[in-house]
Amino acid sequence: MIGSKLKETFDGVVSLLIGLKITFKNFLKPNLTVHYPRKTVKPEELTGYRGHIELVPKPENPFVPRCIGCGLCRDICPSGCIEVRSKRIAEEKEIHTPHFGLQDTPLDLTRKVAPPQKTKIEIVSFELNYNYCSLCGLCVQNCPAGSLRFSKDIYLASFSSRDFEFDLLKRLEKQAQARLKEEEEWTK
Amino acid sequence: MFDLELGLDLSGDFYTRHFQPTPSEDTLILNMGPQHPSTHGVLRVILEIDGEYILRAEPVLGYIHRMQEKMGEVKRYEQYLPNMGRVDYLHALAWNWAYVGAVERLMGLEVPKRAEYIRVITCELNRINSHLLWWGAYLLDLGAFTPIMYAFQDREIVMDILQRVSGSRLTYCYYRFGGVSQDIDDIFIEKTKEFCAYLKPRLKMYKDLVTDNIILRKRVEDIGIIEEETLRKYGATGPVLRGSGIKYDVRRKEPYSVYSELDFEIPTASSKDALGRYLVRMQEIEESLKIIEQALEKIPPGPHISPQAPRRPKPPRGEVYFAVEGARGEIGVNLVSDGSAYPYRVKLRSPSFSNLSMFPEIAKGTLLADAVSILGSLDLVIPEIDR
Amino acid sequence: MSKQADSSICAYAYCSHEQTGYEKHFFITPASLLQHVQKLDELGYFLEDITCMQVKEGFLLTYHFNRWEKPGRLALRVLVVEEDKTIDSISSIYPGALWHERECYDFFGIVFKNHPSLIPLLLPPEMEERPLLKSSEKLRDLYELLPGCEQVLHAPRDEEFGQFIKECSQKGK
Ligand code: SF4
Ligand code: SF4
Repeated sequence: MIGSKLKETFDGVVSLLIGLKITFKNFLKPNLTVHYPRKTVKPEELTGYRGHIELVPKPENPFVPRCIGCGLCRDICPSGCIEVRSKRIAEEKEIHTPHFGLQDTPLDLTRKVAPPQKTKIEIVSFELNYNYCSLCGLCVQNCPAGSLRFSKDIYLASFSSRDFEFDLLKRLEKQAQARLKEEEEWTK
Repeated sequence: MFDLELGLDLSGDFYTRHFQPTPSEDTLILNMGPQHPSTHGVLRVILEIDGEYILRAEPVLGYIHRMQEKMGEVKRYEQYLPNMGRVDYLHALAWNWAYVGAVERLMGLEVPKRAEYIRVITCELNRINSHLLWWGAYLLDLGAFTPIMYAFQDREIVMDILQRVSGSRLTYCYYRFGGVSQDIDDIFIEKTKEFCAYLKPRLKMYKDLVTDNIILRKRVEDIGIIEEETLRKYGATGPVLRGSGIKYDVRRKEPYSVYSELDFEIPTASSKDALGRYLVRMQEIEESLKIIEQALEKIPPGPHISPQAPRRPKPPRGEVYFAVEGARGEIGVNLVSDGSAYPYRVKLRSPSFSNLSMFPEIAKGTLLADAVSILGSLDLVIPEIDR
Repeated sequence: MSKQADSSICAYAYCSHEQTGYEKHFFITPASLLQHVQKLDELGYFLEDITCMQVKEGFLLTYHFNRWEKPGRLALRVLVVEEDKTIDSISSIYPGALWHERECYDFFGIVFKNHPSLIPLLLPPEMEERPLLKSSEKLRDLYELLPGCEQVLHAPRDEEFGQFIKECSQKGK
């Protein structure tokens, strides 16, 4: 009886000492957490992270997105949070008349020969309601023009849900301006 | 409608009233939850107690019911993918896999070998993550605060690794029909290897610190004994089943993917109590590490997604069932297709649902404090139960 | 379960596990449900889940069973007609069915006879809708949804097969 009680006490003390040893060892180890907002995680630790989506500019013009206005991303989005509006505008070009040798041919043939009137697509608006986005990545993967990518904006916080309804065209413009400024400073 | 069909009275708190009428003056009806910290989510348990002893227990579900099955019917096949990360937020990749696997089986889609290995690696990493969180949270229930801090330290590393390829830290949406959405890179492989080497001594430290600790032993030994018959009648699976000495694991018994090519054990414990379930989970972490190391050795080059993978699948008519082994047991997705782009019926079989339905039976006659230990040892994830 | 078609088994089919995940299907009459479940219990099967699906002919209830030692998923299928949405509860044999049956009641309004407490499980008690019921234009024939079974039955297409299954479900009443 006394023996078992003593053994129990002894076991308890041993358990306690082992625990204290481990705690003490860890106590001496360096701090692992990041003191946000005084510090933030390093950018290379964000590789692959999916933030909200943003538009990718055309290589030749940073103000215009690559988007062709096909609406695939809007259709595939499970949460229905993308809204794209585009319009077709005719490009000004001189009107081709059919080659004089073909003028006698029937009408439908000449139509084929005449080049179609060229149109250009302009993206009127591109809105993202980030409140509903489930960050699945389907839109980015399915965009035929490669016009979408994930941003690295991770420190988002606000009191109002309206702040998460992004106008991505505006965002692109801001980014382009920032880039131009940077380039200017470089060249100085 | 409920009134009409069954003549139920809907006034007041329906469930408590239904659970009563209070039989005698000696007993007390007690509500545990829905915001109780030990229920890990919003689970409510109505208890009838006599002193400290439980006479009857009844879980009340549905506090985070989201009608996932209906969502499956109104969304296209590919649009349902992000939902799978939200059914069980702790082992999201297993649910990803179950759904993707069901659609692949329906369409007869071949998955490249490399993709299968990537799935095995990431899914096992996720399993480790899930078990670690369970470990920390369970000990928190039992009154030990420090372990969850250690567990989160390890979880952070896994989450960083998985974030690199899948883009998210918790609710992954990584698998696609016919493969995975992104290939793994050298840094991923290197980091995973580092993690495997790192976790092994940690597990030993956990054993010294917690598993052998006399206080823990007193809280889990001979608590919540579940007999084989009960397990069978309620359809329990996963570590709960293996903790009672039954060697049933979908990865071995109904092999899917490349698990048949990998060498690993199915840990079981014969004690049938909470300690058995605890030990099974701790050993499973080691087995998962073994699987990951082998898979990293064996992973072949090749595409990470099948070239025939459809972006908008339209599977042929038919019905399939696809089961995978999640951290909590057998996850099953039963899919019925009528040949259109929308599923006709999606049924999700969640392991925690069956495991929890056993609770009224095992909690009978135990102490209230032990009921907390039993609930914790079942490893419940409430969103998975409520779906 | 005996391989021979019992008189209460309307149809049975072996399927390839590779393609469907099932080992066997059985179409049985509602009246013989308990008897078959009893047999499975004796054979040491465990209940995986109970699911329901609305089709043109009525409601197809599927009971999934599996075994620990020698896995092979087995589906017991019972068709109940729209006019009489009742079926015996198997909770006296498998108490694990209690919650699954309550779930089916929530989503489809199927009433399980002899269920000790058939009250809403996942949905709020005051909810009047049955969320998984489909509108009539979305409903499909059973034959259309389970093409695998048609071959084994050697049943003629569409109507006759539907009729056959319908008879099967009413035979038990
Ligand atoms: S899928 Fe790409 S190209 Fe099409 S609308 Fe969306 S962003 Fe534009
Ligand atoms: S990530 Fe998914 S949810 Fe978010 S906008 Fe893209 S498709 Fe929609």
